[in-house]
Amino acid sequence: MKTLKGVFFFVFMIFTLGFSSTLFAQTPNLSIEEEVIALTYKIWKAEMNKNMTEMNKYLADDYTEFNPTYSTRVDGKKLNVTLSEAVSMNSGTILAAEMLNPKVQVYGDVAILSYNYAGVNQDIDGKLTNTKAKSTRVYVKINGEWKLAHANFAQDPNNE
Amino acid sequence: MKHIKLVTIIFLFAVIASNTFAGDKEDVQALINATADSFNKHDFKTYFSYFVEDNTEFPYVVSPLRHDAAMWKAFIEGTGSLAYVNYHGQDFHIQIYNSNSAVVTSYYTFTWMEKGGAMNYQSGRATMVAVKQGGKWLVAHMHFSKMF
Repeated sequence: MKTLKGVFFFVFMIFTLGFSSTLFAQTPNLSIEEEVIALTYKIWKAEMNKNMTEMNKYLADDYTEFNPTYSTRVDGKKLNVTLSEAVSMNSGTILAAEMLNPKVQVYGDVAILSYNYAGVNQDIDGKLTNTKAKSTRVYVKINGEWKLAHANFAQDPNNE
Repeated sequence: MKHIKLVTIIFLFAVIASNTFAGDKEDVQALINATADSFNKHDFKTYFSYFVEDNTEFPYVVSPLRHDAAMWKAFIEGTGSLAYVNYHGQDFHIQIYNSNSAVVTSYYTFTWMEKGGAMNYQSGRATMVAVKQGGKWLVAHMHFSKMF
């Protein structure tokens, strides 16, 4: 009986260890802070590749945006997609997109990412332009996925 | 009969859900009004009671510098030396998520007068992020930017 108990315990431990190691192997070891920063870089990569479908799939349906192009708020995913797709027709290229001084505040299923944007753009004639901005992105977990609910992209006044 | 019951249940659920949602928006609007009122009255103790402890802000239209809670406190208390301040927000748009977070966007005018000085005026766009903590809506982040 003691031997049988020992065998059961051994089998139980094998299952437990095997199950937990599988879990560890499958769970990406990213904090929410790292996750939203990584997602932002993923969005930028899609934008640099002019893959607007990939870029816009992370927008919430009621996404709102303040940006340096338009004075007032741009409301809704549909309108933002229309405008961003039109902008992507531009023959210029984004060569670099980085965030400086990033900070992520997490409160349950909302994450606020604020940072200073540093970018390098190249126009069709090869002219390079540095872009500076102060930005806020608000990500919200909707149906288990982080979606961008709002962004305030404000030009760095020192750009002018 | 079965259908009537089902429709009634769905209707009641929709009414309750919409009331809950409306309540959150009203509560967030009350927070917006309370922060502006206390700031304009130089009632800083009340003003800071509406913020989470680790709040952050992009406060200036003319600077890219982000403030943490201590910097924001120093900045706001510094406005106590002004003879007059008036922050006025308008055209508020409130997005509520999961009944515990809110994104508020608006436009604002800020008027102030230094003691014995002339009036100053600024206008811009504002983002506020509020979160519910212990059943109370509090400000977690604000971003003020100019009208481009």
